[in-house]
Amino acid sequence: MCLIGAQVRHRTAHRLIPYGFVAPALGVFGLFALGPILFAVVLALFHWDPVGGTTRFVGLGNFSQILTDPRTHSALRNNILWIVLSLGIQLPIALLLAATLSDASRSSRLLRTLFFSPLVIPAVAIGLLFGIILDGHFGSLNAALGLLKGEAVRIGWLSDPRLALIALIGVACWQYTGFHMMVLLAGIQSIPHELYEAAALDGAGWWARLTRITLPLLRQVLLVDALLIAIGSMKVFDLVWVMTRGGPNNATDVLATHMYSTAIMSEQMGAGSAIALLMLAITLGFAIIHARLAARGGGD
Amino acid sequence: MPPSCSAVPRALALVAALTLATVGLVACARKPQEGPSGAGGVSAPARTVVRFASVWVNPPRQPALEKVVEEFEALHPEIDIEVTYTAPDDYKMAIRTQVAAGEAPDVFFVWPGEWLWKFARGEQVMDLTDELAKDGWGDQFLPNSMPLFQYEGRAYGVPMLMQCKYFFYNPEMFAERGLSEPQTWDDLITICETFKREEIVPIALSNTDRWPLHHYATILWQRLVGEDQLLRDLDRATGGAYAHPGYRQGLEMLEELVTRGYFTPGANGETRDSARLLFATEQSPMFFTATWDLGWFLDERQTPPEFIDKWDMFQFPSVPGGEGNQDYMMGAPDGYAVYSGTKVKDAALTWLRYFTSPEVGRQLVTELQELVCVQGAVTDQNAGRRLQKYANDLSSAPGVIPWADIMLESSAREAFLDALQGMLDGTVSPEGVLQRLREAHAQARVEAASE
Repeated sequence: MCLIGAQVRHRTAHRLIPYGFVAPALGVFGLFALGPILFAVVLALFHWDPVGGTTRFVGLGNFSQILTDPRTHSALRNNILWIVLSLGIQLPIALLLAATLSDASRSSRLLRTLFFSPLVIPAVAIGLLFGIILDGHFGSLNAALGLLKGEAVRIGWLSDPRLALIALIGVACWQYTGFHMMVLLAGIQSIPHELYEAAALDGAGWWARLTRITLPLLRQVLLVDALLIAIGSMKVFDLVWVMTRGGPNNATDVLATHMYSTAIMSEQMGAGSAIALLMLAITLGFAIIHARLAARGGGD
Repeated sequence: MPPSCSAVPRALALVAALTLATVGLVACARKPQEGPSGAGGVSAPARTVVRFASVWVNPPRQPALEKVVEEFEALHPEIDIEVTYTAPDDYKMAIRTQVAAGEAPDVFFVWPGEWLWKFARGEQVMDLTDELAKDGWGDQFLPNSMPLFQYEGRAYGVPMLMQCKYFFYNPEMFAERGLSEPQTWDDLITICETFKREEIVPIALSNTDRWPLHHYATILWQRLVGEDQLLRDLDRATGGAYAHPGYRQGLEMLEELVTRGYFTPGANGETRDSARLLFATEQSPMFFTATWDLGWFLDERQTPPEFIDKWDMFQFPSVPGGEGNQDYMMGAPDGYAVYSGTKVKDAALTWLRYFTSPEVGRQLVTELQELVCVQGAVTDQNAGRRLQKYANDLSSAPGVIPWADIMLESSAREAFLDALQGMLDGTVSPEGVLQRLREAHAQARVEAASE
């Protein structure tokens, strides 16, 4: 009797062990990710003003407010433009750099480090730095252009609503292209070297090797990397907030800055949470595609 | 029991203990309220830590505050003042988050009016009325600096620096063109036109922070609509109509400054430092700023030394025919409140009384060249020419209209500031600005009524 009982306990305990091991990670995830998400879901159903101390149930009112708000539409448009331009700029340059710098020579290693280095600088520092460089009156970019042109240049990189978003995306590309180069480089280095050697023997040049070997075999990595760019572009906040605060006149407003100013500056925590959930839904969509692609990649 | 049976629960217990420890460590990772008990293990008396939130991030203010804190701590060795410095625009957001999280500093910087009243309604700041009645603490402040700190007859903060708007200007650039300080709105337009003809941008403006432009709207409304009507319209619970034709006229006058190109181009993307530099490097002859910049333009660490003696200031001109008192100034005091959840109330009040004492006031006036709201703080000895002019103007002014952003409910304020940014860009008309303000204010009224 006792033996059977001990065996049952043994089996139960055995089944529980894996859960015990994932418990710490699960605990931290629950506390810092799942908990806040659930809290945001609840918040989105209320009008909550933490400073004035008022709380009122509004149901889906916050969602209808933000979905009909023209500012949400323009922020979403800016996010989409951010994704499209980031993909169009970062991916080709990263691919070109990765294909060029994939050998083990000293100069390639040095350049790889150099291109990667902007990623380790905090976005706030980059924002402040480029804020100074791009200043319309006292910025060094205009000063340099002025030297070339021979007369004073006063381009309001961050103050002209038509240029500001493009300038910000340019800075983001400067920061992240090195990272995507590394992702693609890892993909390139996993391609068997023999293929290139065989192609070289057959007389294939650099371009043919890139288009006939590298690109087809890198397709999966490219797709995953493109999704990483899309997710990153959807979540972008720090650079925008430091450099323009979403201005001038909301020209660089993205969903994250819209969420922040709604929740914190207008003190509408509920509406802010609704925007956060909208962002979550979109990035979750990307993440699901990402997971499916990654799973398929593993099976190839 | 077989060894394997006991080993498994032991492993589980270990994992569970580690989980709890991880979560526990994270949950307990809070700043201690009490200070360290001294180095070297010698049992020094525990010091009470008072957390103090300041927005004085730049010289000469920041070093002046550090000096006051040092002197206070020498007088009160049992109290440790822990200062956090946050730039004003970041602070507006940070303090709300801290209050929402129940983690606000013990004594914190506040703007008076609706900005502070909201904290009072939410019972986030301590009622200081009884404290102010003790030892004449409340009587030492300048008359008229207290009312904006009072909500429903109770005081929720104390004033510190009185800030008013002036046109800072470059008399040399004016004199070269035979111009003098404007008395009326038309004079101002003439001055602007004179500079504009020479392709000099007449007024340096930065509007990234959005509030600088709304100061023009506030003072024009005061001039045209009148101070009493304006304050009634700005009130979150009873206002919101903005029916007086002066509202539209004021915005149209402001739009005139925009369309004629009298402001820095692309001002919506210009930073405050950039506007200050345009004025200090004599690229623009005027800068409509507040007296918080008195110290800035007198400080060699911030301003080119050759410019320090060059600038002067004049008040916003009158608008003939307007219904407001044309001698009104615009501005507001800033000040400090005590967090209602503080665990160190006595020490916090001891610090705040010291910080707002006449002695410290005189010392701060000397170092900052700003107007401290304590009677007798500004003297002939410690105030320079510009500060004395300001103090005289203020004492002879019939009143001071507070800037609209501290009187408006937060969502109405945000809608208004956004719309004005749009007007500066040419995408929103004066009527459009009013429309957005009315709509947001109407929503705020509904919220106020439902409380």
